[in-house]
Amino acid sequence: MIAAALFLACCGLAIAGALGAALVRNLFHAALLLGLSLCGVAGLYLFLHAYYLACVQIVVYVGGILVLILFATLFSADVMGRLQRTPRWLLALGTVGAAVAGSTAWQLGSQVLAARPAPAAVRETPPGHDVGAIGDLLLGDWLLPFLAAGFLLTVALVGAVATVRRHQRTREVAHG
Amino acid sequence: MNGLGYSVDALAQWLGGPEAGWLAIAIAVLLVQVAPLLLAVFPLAAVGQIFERKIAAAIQRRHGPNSAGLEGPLLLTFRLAFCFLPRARQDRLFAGFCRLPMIRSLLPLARRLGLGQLAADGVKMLGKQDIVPRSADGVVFRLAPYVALCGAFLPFCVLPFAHHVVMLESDVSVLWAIAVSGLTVMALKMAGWGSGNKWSLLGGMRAVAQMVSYEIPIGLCVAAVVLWCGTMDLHGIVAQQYRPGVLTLTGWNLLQSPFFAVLAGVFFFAGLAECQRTPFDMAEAESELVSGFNTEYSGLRWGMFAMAEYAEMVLIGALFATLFLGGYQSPIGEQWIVGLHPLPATLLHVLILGSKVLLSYLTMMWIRWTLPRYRVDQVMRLCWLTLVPLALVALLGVALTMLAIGGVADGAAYGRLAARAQLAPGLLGWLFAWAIPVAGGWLLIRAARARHGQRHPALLQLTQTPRPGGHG
Repeated sequence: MIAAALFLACCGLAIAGALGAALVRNLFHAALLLGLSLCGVAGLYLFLHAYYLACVQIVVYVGGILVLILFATLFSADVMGRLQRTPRWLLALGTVGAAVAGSTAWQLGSQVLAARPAPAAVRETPPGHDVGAIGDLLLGDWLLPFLAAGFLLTVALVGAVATVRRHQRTREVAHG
Repeated sequence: MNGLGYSVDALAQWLGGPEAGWLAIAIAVLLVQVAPLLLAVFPLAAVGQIFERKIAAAIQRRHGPNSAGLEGPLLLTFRLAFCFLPRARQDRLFAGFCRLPMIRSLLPLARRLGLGQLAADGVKMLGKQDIVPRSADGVVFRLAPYVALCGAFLPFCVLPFAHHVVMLESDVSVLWAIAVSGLTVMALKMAGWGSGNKWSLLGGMRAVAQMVSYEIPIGLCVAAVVLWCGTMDLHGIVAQQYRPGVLTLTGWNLLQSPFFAVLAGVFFFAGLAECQRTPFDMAEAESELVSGFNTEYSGLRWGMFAMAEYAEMVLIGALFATLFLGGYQSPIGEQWIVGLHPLPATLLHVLILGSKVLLSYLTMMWIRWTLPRYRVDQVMRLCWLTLVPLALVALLGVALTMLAIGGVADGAAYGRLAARAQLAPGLLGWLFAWAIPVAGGWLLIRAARARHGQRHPALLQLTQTPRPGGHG
């Protein structure tokens, strides 16, 4: 009972947050609502016993990307919502498009769900002890993509530092 | 000592059984344990404040709070407890109580220590008007302190306080602690923006930039410890640092290799920056930003931010102890403590962890009242050009040390918590792990000296950078 209520609460948080992020006029509020939605999705991961994924979701999306979005928001021309109004025809078109997409997704989803075989015993590790398995996968089968992504991120990090330092130096030179 | 764990399990069962999963357990934890924790940490934060005022006074050769005694709060308590008696009887009872031999000698001491200041501050904070500025973003402004409290208190859920006394046992507890403490960043952003005030916004931006930057060295330090211990479970990390015998402290991560000493230093300074403590309190620089992100807050909402700051100091101290100083384990003779009856063992463990936390707490205060604050650019330079490279090198060093001394063996059983796949280097391996990096570092420094003399770029930079003292 309470589990169901919690599950529904998480779903509601994710959906309401996402809707709010899309519909609210105040950009800052929209970004915060996006954070709410991301937290709801993290809660859903907890229900799937994917604790590691839930933690990573919070670290990466809420702690990292959302903060970045918030910074970007503050640099945007008009945060407080006096944005250009969406034209009527675009709204109408969007509604029709959403309806078509939704019904298609519903049809496809129900067919896929119906055709899906019964899940075999997928999980080998006890719930909540999946870090080792993830680590084996990342450093085994997926080692190359993992290292490539890590290398890319390191290059980006070093590049960012180097860029800032070069700017600083030119500014120092300019100021004498 | 599974009492706490069992109570949570029972409550989780009652809430909906195993399929309710983690969330039901989280709710159970909230009900059973976070409430007492809050009841314990809130006064701790308040005590922290008065403690800090006394220490600041001692460092600055002042007296600090020295005239508010406990008579007032005690009289109030008496009046409430004996409200059924007439007022004159209450007064006579109280006078009698104050004449009791113990109380008579303790009350002046409490007055000299200014303990009553605590109650006065609390009442003042509760009684202040809760002001929301007209230009503020109402909802965001009001919500920010709650988010800050969440970010400060949720990490305590996974902290092992004593052997098997941990609220949420999980394989990823270290990650959880780091993840949810990131919520504080959101709170500061909300406070800074929601206040509708340029100074608050600037303070919030500085705070967020600082916290986001310093999370990276912290993450690297944690990664090195996780690498060494082979687990992301804080309880497992504590168990890995256990050694049977008299000198339990030989197992502490801090003493395993010089790289860990570097990592511990990096972690402590980065943690200081995460708490926004001096010398990293640029975000609330009162001489230029009024008070930064909490300029517009008053009363209890301001109190929540203060509480979150003190709770975060406790958290950093506890994480430092857990990652590097063997957690709740005693430095000597841990095996006898584990062998005790669970109840005294738990009490001892909590006390030991508490004293380790107190040690870093005191160090933080000592630093705050001794050092001037860094400028913004200095804060960023320290993070990106000093702490991050240091942590990266130390992480590499830890990995190489593991390769060199190798030997993954089964660890000693620590109570019921068996240490998994423990590195057991032995005395020779340990000497090796210390000797090679120390010798290497010494050679490097000598080579740099021989090549650059005293004109080494780092030295030049140090001497040419203006001292931050002028900012006060």
